[in-house]
Amino acid sequence: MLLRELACHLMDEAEARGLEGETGMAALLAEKERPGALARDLAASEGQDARHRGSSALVAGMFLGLATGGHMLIEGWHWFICLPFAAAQGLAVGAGFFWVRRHWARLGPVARLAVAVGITTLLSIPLGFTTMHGFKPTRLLYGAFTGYLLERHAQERPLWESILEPVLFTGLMFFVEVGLLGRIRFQWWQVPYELSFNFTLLLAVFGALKLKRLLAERWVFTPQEQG
Amino acid sequence: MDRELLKGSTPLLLLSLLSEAPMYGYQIIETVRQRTGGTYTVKEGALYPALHKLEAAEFITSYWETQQNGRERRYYAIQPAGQAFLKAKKKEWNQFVDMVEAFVGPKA
Repeated sequence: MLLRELACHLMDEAEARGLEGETGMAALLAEKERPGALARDLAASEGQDARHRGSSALVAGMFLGLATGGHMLIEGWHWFICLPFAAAQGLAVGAGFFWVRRHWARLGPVARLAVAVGITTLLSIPLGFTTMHGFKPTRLLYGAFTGYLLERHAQERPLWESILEPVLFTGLMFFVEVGLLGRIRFQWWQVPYELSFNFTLLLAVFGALKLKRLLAERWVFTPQEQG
Repeated sequence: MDRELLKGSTPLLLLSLLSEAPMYGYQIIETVRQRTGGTYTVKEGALYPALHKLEAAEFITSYWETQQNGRERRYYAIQPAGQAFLKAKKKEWNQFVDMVEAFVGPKA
């Protein structure tokens, strides 16, 4: 990829300067930085970029996992449920999302949102197993909602929208669990538990996005290490 | 021009250019050269690592496009996160310029 880009660059420059044939190209190359040193520096910077991408995705993802897993622990869930939930939410959904997000960066806003929701639904399959009764498909909705929030709030949104989203999602969860699947019987005391969890998820998404942006800003101004 | 004064300005310069339109490497070098009247030139060895860094930070994205003559070019385009970052940094930059001008005086 790097060599392909540099070759294209040389062709563009040769074309712009009207240089043709082997002699023209040789003259152009003679003006350039030493190709060996340039390739070494570029390769080193690529490696550092990949490390930054991986580590920042992991850090932001884990923040998400720890916040939601921590909330469950405070709510009184068993640690052996909270821990795998935090790991699945942080490593699979959060870090996974940040790791693959660049692949749909060029899509339009609606397509981006649809892809983000689809991908995080798939990434949240491990979340489905974080129960004491086998696989729980509604857990995938939390993954989908996380993807929705991460993509939607990558840009600044009005406050009313941010408040409304967890409320609507809470309504959807009860509709699916009580109305559609009949898995649980509706009781009012469950509402604040579900609502507070979804608000924690929203705040965790804000935190993870902010963290990712801070790391990116720091990274952009870090001087390049020589390879 | 004193290179120390330019330190750290390359990412902002690139984001600023890309906020106008998607560009490819050679086009960026040429635009910088023309706009600064040749007083500032970006070398390939500095440009591509800086572009790739901005891409890793998700401030910009890139894509390959085939030209009519069959040749390919890798274009870079700014992303919403890059726009937000640029906006914030422009504000900081203006504050810095105002502060310096308060001592050194504006351009005659």
